[in-house]
Amino acid sequence: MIPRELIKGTLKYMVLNLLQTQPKMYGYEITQVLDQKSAGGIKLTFAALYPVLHKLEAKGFVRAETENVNNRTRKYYSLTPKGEKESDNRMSDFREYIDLMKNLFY
Amino acid sequence: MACLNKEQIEFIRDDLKKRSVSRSFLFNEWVDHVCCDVEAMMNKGVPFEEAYGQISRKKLESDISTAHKDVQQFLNHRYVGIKKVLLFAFLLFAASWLINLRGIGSWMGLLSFIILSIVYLRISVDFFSKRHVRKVNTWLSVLALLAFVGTLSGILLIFLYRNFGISTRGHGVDLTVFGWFFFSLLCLVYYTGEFRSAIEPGEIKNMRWLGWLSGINLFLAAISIATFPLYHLVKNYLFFLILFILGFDLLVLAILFATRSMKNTLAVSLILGSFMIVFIHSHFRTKLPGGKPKLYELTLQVTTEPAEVSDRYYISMYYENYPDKPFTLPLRRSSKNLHEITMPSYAYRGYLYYGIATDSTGAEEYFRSRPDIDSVLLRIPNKKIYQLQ
Repeated sequence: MIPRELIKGTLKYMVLNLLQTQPKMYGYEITQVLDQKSAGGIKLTFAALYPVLHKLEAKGFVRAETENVNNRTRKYYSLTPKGEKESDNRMSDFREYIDLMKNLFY
Repeated sequence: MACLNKEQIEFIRDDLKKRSVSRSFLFNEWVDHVCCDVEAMMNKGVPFEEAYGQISRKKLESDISTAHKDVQQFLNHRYVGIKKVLLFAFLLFAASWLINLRGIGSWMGLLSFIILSIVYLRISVDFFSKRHVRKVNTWLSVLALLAFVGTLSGILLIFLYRNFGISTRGHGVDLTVFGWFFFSLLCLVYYTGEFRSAIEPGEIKNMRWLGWLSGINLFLAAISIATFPLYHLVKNYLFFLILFILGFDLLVLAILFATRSMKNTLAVSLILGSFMIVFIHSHFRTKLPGGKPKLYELTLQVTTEPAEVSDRYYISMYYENYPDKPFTLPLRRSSKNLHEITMPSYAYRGYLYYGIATDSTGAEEYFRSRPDIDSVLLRIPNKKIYQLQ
């Protein structure tokens, strides 16, 4: 089981990266995709994901639009140009960090 | 793929609304999230009632409550740095009225208002940077910007008028009060929004009280603005209005301090700003050392020809802006044909109208009877000695 602190520290990179692969996603969809991709290793709760989404929105990295889907309001998130740039930069930093960790531990 | 029908969604929504967190700005997303969870279970063959029963037994409320607090902590406008800066500005402001060594008080006062304006600007920038989050943030940013412009331009005009005699036609007062009005409006909109989305009883109560506080300030600022065109009608009652506002602000500050609510930066900015703006327009300031405008030395010299006409001359005069306050003073002979008077004068820019005669009554008579009396353009404090005809 992956420790919660590790997930918490890297969640915004995961979200930014996921949003680069999809034009728009909603919160529940993000939790499911991460769950599938991590083979059940990353199970996000509402409390963990939504603050990250709102912080990314506040910083202008993602934009949100509300749609009425199946008789209920759904908020979709997509990357802004600023967010795309941020995602590229952060992913490159993140890869460097992973390489560093590999060198340190293995 | 199972999809909830309208009735099932309404059932979930109604059930979730019964919980204390239904006021949260995350509520709609929470409903969608729970519905998606239920649909996922229904896809595995679990009937709706059982699926929702299982999900609602989880700690749903703590989930949204934690998310709500986390988001709000990031989005709300509580800045520790700003609180310290505001307190520093207020201390500087208080010191400017209590200490006025060599006229430094007015500069300290000006600095305290510049700091207050910069706080308003900082808040404006912060709301603007978070405009994506809530549409109202753009308007709040505009209101904070107007408060910044009003306060800064107003205090600069007041400073120029009181220290350099530059006529500002009282617009300094108008602008600062308008600044206060816009900031009160900002606080009212902001705290009303916070009240509507607060989920904890303590927070709801706190936001309601801060909303009321902002509303009362807005009302007082609006009354103050209304006194501008009605000045002649209400001037005898202004003292009571000012007394009420200052008393109210001090009381609120004490409550905010006692209830440890100083972290609400907007409310603290509002109350400190309101007190500072109203105080500089009150008569109380004249009772304090820093409230007295700096006096400059004005010397008027009169050259008489021939020199031996009279030992003593009198000058009767009034300042251009105060024709209803003429005064007469004796001139002192300083040399054979030079008479002069040195007197204290506040900073002033404008004409001084004068008449000179060998006795005080004559000077006053001369002054009253001449339609084209002599005048000299004063620029105090730039020039202090004026040669009269």
